[in-house]
Amino acid sequence: MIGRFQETLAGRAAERWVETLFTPATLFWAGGMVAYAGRVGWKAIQDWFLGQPVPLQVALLLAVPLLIGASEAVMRRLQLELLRWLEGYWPGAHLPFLPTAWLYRLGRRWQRWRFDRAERKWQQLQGLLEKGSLSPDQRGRLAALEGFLRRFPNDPGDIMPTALGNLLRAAETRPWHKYGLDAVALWPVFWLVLPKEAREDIATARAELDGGVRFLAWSLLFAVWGIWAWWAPLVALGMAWLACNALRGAAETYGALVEAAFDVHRTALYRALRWPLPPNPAQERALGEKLSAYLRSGSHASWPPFADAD
Amino acid sequence: MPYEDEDILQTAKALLPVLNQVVPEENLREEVDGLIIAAERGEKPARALVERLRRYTPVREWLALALYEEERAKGLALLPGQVQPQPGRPRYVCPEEGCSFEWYVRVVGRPVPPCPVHRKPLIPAEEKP
Repeated sequence: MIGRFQETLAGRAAERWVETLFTPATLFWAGGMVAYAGRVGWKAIQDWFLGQPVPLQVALLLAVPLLIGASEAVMRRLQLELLRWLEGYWPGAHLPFLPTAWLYRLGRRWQRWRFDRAERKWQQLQGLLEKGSLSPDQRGRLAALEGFLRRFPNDPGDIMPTALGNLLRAAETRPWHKYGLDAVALWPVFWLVLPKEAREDIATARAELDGGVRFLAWSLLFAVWGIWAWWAPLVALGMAWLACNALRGAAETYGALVEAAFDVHRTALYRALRWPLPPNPAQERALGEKLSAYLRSGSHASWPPFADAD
Repeated sequence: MPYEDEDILQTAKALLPVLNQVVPEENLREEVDGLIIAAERGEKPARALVERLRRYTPVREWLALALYEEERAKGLALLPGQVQPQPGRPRYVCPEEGCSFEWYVRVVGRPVPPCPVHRKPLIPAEEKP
């Protein structure tokens, strides 16, 4: 029993060390070192290192974790901006004659084409479903199309130029379409009324998403080692592909949780603000829009009366 | 701390059978057992267990790692399957007589398009004479 206990302890400690050491930043710098060594030879690096005074050798060894930590910290600072960029919020996207504007339009057109094609097919199969003449194969295809179309915003006017942008935009705009709640504007207030468990789950999913963004950024940066090694850009491409897949999975989970949080906990928002609860789905949309406007811009109107006002 | 009282209780219960072997202190097992029961009854906070056990280095390390694992285990894993096709969606049709174009509402917020043939706004199917 005691042996198993110690085994578990050692195993978990090792796992934590591996997680701490093998961040994408570590892989990036280690890859750079290998690329450089491939160019000049390990022997030359070793000779140069051993030729330095001992204090400098110690300083260099201490500088390695510092460099990794500092570069990872910088990347963490930039991750929100990088995520927005990956979503398709590009500077100058709405200004004419800029390359970003051209890319933005091209990306949106491509995403809209994918959406329209899938939706046309969905309409056709849904018609068959309603008429009761859907084959099992067509049923599977219809289910796949449902899943595919859920990765786009409900209103095609909100389509973004990237797949990641569409996934997140879909999650952010659905509370508006369903309940009149502007998720982006209300998020800080909504966060405060969410139960601890929901906040933890969303925070975990967000950390995964941010981790995916950093992984992708380090993967793309890896290509710079192409100045020393021909294989570096290929490794960068492979890692970027893996990172894109991880990022998509993380965005789907995060988006699903954000949407579900509004589905389940939106009444907590009404209660916290002492607003009357909407009596039915038909009125909820209009009341939710008013609540969103109230929190965004404030209001001195005498309607609605607060729920506990006598 | 991001973990729950339940996580602390589960971790302490898992440790209990080997506690005497890890920390050879008399009556510690009985004391921890009592703290677990008290925490389950709500008489004492589960945090008291952590405070009591963290005095011993190996137990403290084990607790940190075990609770870290509990923390990691949280979070949503999406189901890998597909959603079911959903019949009974609102149907819109072209108001033009003889036109068979129909359009189903997939989700709220998707604007209803005009008829691609007659360029007229679609109307709910039940409103067409």
